[in-house]
Amino acid sequence: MAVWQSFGKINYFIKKGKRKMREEIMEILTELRPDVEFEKEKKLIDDGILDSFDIVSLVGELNDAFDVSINVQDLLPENFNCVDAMVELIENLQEEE
Amino acid sequence: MSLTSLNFFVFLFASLVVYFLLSEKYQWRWLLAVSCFFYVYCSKTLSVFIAVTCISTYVISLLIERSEFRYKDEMKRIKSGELKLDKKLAKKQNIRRKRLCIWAAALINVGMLVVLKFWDLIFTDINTKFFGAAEGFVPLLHIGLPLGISFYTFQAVGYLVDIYRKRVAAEHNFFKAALFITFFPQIVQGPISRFDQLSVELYSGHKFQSRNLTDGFYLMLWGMFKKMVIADRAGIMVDYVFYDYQNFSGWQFWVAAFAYAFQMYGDFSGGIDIVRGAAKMFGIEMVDNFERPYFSKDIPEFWRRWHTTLGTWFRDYLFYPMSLSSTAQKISKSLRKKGHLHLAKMLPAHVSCIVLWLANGAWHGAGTQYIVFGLYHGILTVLSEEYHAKLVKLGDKLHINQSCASWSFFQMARTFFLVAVGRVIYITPNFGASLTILKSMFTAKNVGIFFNEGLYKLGLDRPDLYVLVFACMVLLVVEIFQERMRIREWLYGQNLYFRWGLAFGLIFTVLVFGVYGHGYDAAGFIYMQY
Repeated sequence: MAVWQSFGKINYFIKKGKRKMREEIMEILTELRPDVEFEKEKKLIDDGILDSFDIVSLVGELNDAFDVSINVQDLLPENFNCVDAMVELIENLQEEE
Repeated sequence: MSLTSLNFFVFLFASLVVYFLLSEKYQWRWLLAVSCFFYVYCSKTLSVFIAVTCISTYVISLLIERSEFRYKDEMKRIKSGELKLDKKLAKKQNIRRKRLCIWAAALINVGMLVVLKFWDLIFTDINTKFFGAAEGFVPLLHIGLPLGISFYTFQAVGYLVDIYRKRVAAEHNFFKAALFITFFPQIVQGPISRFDQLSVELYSGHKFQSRNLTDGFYLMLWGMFKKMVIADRAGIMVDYVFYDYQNFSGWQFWVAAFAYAFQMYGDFSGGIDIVRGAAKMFGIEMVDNFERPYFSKDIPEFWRRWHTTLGTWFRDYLFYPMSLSSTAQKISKSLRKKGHLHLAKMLPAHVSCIVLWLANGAWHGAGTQYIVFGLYHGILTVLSEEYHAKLVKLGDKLHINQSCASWSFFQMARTFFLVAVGRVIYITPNFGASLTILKSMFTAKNVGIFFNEGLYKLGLDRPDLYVLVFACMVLLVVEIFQERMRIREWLYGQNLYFRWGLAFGLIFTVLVFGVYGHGYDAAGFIYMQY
């Protein structure tokens, strides 16, 4: 029982951390492009909503905020098409580092 | 062999017949054979340079892959305890090995491009200035430029960087890799294809489909209309006015500058339509290089829609690596710490953008005018990115309706004007001449040319000018429809009589109104020289 409880607690903290990260990314994105509804958009790159200048600024901000280093190799549309994809990318990079 | 010559059509027809007679397994081999024949036929001994690119690209692609395999093996052995090596060190060594490969590829291929393109141009100037004769102190090469060298070089380098970034796997069959570089329709003037897109199309067999044949036919016909009826006709006026610029002034230059805008578009996009149409006949889909760029509302949008494959190439292989380099990120971080938040955010992108545009300018040719052209568009792009949002806000404050048609038209006209002016910078052989022309354009007084038949004294007589204006209007109307619908799909919904009528009408127009007369160079596509 105690084991399940500690699993539950870990899961709770992971979820909380993820939610916080998502909120921070949303903040960065909204500051970068206040004209875009990031919660709704699922094809930020494919539909050309974020251009190359936005991407460079965004990567700089994300690197700084989450202490990761997003490389050119990571600049795939699937990593930046929506907020959740960005959360996943940063989580993966944090795990790697 | 020009893309609009009879030789090319006979060659294409013969290639197609054999291609569809062969089993799908052998079709790509045939494509490689005809591509090699086409290249050697056009470039003769200069073909040796594309051979060097094919071989070096193939060898280096395998070396990059081998480095990656070695790294994976090392990681496995580290995890199992078999190898005592720091994981980070193994990763660093892998990156260093792969980078060395990329630098070697750039040195060989971009080196060849730079030397062949610029050596004679630069040293002719230096010899003349400092030693009194073109054939002076530094010997000139007099080799000439191999057909499509910048297009296939960019494509090969892009392929290698994609392997480096693990986006694609290296092609192990040398002949398949060679086909990706030499595929004959694209070799003349692009588009610059990506391996993951084009390789699938090239290597998989294609069954004969009449729809592909007619699609390709329509596309080629439309390309020939743009090239032969519009571009080559506008070219007569452009050459007439700008080559003897001392005899013209003011509004005459404006008319010729607008004609040049249509010449460039007709020539390049028409050529690309012919390339895509020829590929389509084999069942091979190629990316489009133009998305009706003259409907762009600002300069960055224009360059996203004009020669898109070069734009994305520069973005992916030059702009991103520069602006996201560790040096750029360090500078950005230190600016952020000092409280210069906006500068920290924009500086890497802006500096990279200017460098990218200088490279783009140099790609167009050697000379001050090309550097100024690059700088002009670099500065316009940076200004547009920096002030776009502020200008929108200002428009709102001034109660300007920014979503109505007239405002969109104003934005398109503004972009067209800026682009046309930008092209005048490099149209003349030297920057001094360009400055004289620009000065004359911005102090134009001779508005009378629009009323006293002065327009017919710019190299085109009255009927030719009417044909040019009418053809440009047809182009404009078709492109307005293309913005809203897929014209080819619509065409297939019409009766056969209508479709054939339209096709014959276009053939008739190209045959009757295409420019073939005195001074016509069937081999001359402007972008071939790049």
